[in-house]
Amino acid sequence: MTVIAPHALDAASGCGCAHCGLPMPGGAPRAEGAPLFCCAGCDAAWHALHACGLGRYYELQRAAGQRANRPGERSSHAWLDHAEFTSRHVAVLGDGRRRAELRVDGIKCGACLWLLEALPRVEPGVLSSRVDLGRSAIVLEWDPSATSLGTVARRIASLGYGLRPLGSRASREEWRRQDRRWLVDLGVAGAIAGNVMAIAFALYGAQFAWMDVATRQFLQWLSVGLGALAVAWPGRIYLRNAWDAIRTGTPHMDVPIALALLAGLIGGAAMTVAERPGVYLESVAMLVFLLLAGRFVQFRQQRRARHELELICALVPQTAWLVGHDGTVTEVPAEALEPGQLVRVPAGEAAPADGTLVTESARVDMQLLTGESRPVLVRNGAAVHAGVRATDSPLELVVTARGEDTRAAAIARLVDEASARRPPVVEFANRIAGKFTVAVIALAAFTGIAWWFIDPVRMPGVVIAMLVVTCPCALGLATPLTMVASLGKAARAGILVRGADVLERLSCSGTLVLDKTGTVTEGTMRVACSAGDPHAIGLAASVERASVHPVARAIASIRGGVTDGQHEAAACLRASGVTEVPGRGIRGLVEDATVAVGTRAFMAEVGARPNPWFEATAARMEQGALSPTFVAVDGRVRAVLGVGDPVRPDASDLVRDFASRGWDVRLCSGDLPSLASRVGRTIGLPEGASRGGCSPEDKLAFVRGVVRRPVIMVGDGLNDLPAMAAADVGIAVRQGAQATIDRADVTLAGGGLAQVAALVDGAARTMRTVRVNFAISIAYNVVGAALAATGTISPLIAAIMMPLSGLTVTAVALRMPRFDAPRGSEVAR
Amino acid sequence: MTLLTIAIPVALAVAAAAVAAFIWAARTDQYEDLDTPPRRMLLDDPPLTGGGVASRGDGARGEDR
Repeated sequence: MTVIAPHALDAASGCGCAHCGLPMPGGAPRAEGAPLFCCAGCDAAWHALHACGLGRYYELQRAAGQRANRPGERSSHAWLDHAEFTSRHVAVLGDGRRRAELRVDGIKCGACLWLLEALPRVEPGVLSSRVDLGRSAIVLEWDPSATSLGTVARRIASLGYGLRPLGSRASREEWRRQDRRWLVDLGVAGAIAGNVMAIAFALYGAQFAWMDVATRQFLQWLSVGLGALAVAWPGRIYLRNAWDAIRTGTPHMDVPIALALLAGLIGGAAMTVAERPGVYLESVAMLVFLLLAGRFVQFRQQRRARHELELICALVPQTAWLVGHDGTVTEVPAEALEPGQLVRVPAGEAAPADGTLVTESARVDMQLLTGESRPVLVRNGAAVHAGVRATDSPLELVVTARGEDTRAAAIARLVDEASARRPPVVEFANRIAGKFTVAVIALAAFTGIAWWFIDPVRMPGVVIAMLVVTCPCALGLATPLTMVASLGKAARAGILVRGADVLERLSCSGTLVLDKTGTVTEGTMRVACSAGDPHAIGLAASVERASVHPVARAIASIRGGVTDGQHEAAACLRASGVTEVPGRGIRGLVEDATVAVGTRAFMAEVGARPNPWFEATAARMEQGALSPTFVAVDGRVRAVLGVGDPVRPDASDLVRDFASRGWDVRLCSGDLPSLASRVGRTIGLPEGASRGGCSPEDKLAFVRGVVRRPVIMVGDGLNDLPAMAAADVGIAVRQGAQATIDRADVTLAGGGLAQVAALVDGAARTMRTVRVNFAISIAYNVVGAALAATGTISPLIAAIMMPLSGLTVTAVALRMPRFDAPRGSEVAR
Repeated sequence: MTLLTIAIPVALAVAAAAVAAFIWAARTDQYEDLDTPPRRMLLDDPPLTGGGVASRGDGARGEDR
C-alpha cells in the first residue's frame, strides 16, 4: 500500500474512495463499475452499510456536501462492558432493557444522524438509537440478552464515529430536572401574567365606562386569585430565597422582590375585600414572569457551559490499558483503576491516572498541566500525572491516584474555589429593580394617603394610574433585552459569552493577562520556516511519518506554503528501516537514500556537518524562538527546518490595541522563562511584562495579586483555568480539534485573538445601551409618576403610555451594534 | 355580567389546558433537544420492503432541499 500524506491527497484529483470520498492513490487499478476503497476499513464499512440496505447514507451525505468519516482504529471497546462503567453510566429500564448515553465524535450533518439512528436495523439487539445533534450525544437502548454495549460500540466505531463517556448519569439527570422545573415555572408565570394583564385592562376601562360593582368585584377577585397563584407557584423561588436570606442574616436582592410581591398581593386583596377599585396584581404577575425569564436565560447558559465542562474530563483519557500479572493488556474504564496497578500508555496518548514511571525513561508532553510546549525527559520513578502525553514511545506507570485524587482533578477543584471567591457582581438591573419596586409601592401608598385627604373620590383612579404608569415592564425589560440581543450578536461573531454579568465586568480598562502556549502562540508544533533543498524536506517528511513525536508530526504534515509545494512528490515516498533516537532525531531509508532528521547533536552522530550557511540560518531560527532541525541525505546536510510553536499573527495587534486603550498587558506562561520573555518581545511587550515558569497556582496568585482591575485572563489549557476563574473575566481560546474547557466566561470559537478586542468593544457598547435604556425607562417613570400623583393623567392614558416605554426600550436594544470580528469567523460547536 | 361569568371562566379553562399541555411537553423532555427533530423529520425513510423498523414518524419526504 502506498502511503499518501493528507495534503497530497487533497491536491490530487480523480475518482475517490467509495466510502470516505478521499482521492485514491494515483494509478490504482480500476475495475469497471466496481467501487474502489482507500483502505480495508472503508471497504468493510461500505459493504456493511449496503448489506443492511443503508446505501442511502451516501446519497444523504453527498446532498449535505460532506464525506463519510474514515473508520477509526480498531479498539475492543471492552471498557464499555466493564462493571464499573455499567454501574455509573448504564440505566436498567423497567422491561430489562438497558440505556446509556454516550458522546459521539464525528457527527457532521443530517446523514450522520440518519445513519446512527438506523442502528437498530444494522445491529441485532439494539432497540433504539436517538441522536442529540446539539450536544453530540447518542442515547442507545439495547437488549442485554442479545448484545452488549461493547459490541454496539464496535459497530459504531467501524462506521467511523468515536465514542466517549459523558459525565455521570446522576448529575446529568439533575441538570435536566432543574431545566424542566424552570421551564414549567416560566410557562405558568407567563400564562398567569398574560391573563391577569387582560383582566387588568378591563378594570382600567372601568374607570371611564360604567361597570357595575358585582362585575368589578368578580374581575378583581379573579386577578387576586391568579396573582396569588403566580406568587405561590412560580414566585415561590423568590419567597424561599428571601426567607433563607432573612433566616441566615445575609441580605439578598430577592428580599425586596419578595417584599414587593407580597405587598402587591396583600394590597390588592385588601382593596378587593374593601370593595374599592384597586389592583396591583398585574404588576405582581408581570414582575414574577420577567424576573423568571431573566434567570432562566442565565440558567440555560450555565447548563450549556456545564455540558462543555464535561470535555475537561476528555482531556484525561477515560479508558486505560491495564497490564495484568501475566502480561496481558486489557482496556478498562479509568474509573476502575486501583492504586498499585500497572498501566500502559501508548505513544501519543495521555496517562489516564497519576502514577510513577516504571519505564527506564520517557519523553512526555506536559502542556495540559504546565503549559510547557516542549516534551520533557522523565526518568524511572518520576511522577507522571494524568493528562500527560507520552510523545516518542509507550511508557508504563504504577497507578498512585485516579479520578478525583489526580493532579488534574485538584486543578479543577482549584478552579471551583477560585470562582467561589470571586466577588459576585450584583447585576445593575437587579440592584435597581428591587429598590425600584419597593419605591413604587411606597409612592403609590403615599399618593393614596395624600389623595384620601385631598379628594377621596378620585383617590382610586390616581393610585391606579400611578401603578400602571410605573409598571416595571420597561425597567425589567431594558437590561435583559439588551443583554440577550448583544449576547446573540456576539455568538454570531464566534464569541460565546456565558453570562450577562461578563459584559458588565468588561466595561472599563484594567489588566489583560495572556497565557503563552496555545494563546499567544498556536499551541502546536509547526514548521514555521525552512531553508535548503525542497526534495530533501520531502524526504524528511516521509521519514517522520513513522513517528508520533510532536516535532515529527509537524515535519510530516509540512505545509505547501513553506516550500511552495516543491517537496510534495518526495513526501509521498515510503520510508523503510526507520529508527528513532528519542530526543534527538530519526533516520530511515527512502529510495536508497539514507535520510537523517534531527538536532545538531544528531547530525554529528550520523557524521553530517552543517555548512556555515546552514549554521547561520539555524542561529536566526533560534532567535525567533524556533528549534532548528537539520535534514541530512546520504551524510550531507541538505536542509534546515525551523520547528516551533509559532506566535499567532494577530497577537502583536492585540497587544498594541489594548495598550493604546490604557490596559496593562502581561504574559504569564508555564513555559521556560527565557522562552516566555522571547515571545513577549516578539509581540511587543515591554521587558518585565512577561513571566515564565508559572505553575497553575502561580498563575492564580498572579491574577489575584493584580492591582488594576478588572483582570481579563486569556488562556487555553487546564493550567490556566484557576487563573481564568479568579480573573474578573476568563477567556478561553478554542482551536481546531483541541478540546476546550468551557469553564471560561467567554469562549472564542473563531480562534482569533482579534476577537478579544471585539469583545471589549462590544461590551462597552452594550453597557452604554443598557444605561441609555435605563435612563429612558427611569425618565419615563419619573415623569409618569409625577403626572399620576398630581392627578393629571387618567388610568387609561397611563395604560396607553405603558407599552410605549416598553417599545422604546425594545427598539433601542435591538439596534445594538454588532461585535465585529475583523475576519470571518466560523462558529464551531 | 352573566355573559362574563361564563366567558371568563371558559377562557381561563382554555388557558389552563394550554398550560397543562405545556407542562406535559416540558416534563416529557420535548424542549430538551431543539436541534435534532427538525432534521430528523427531513430524513424520513422510504417504506422498506424487508423487515426491520419501518419509517419513524410519517412526515412528508423532504430530502430534496
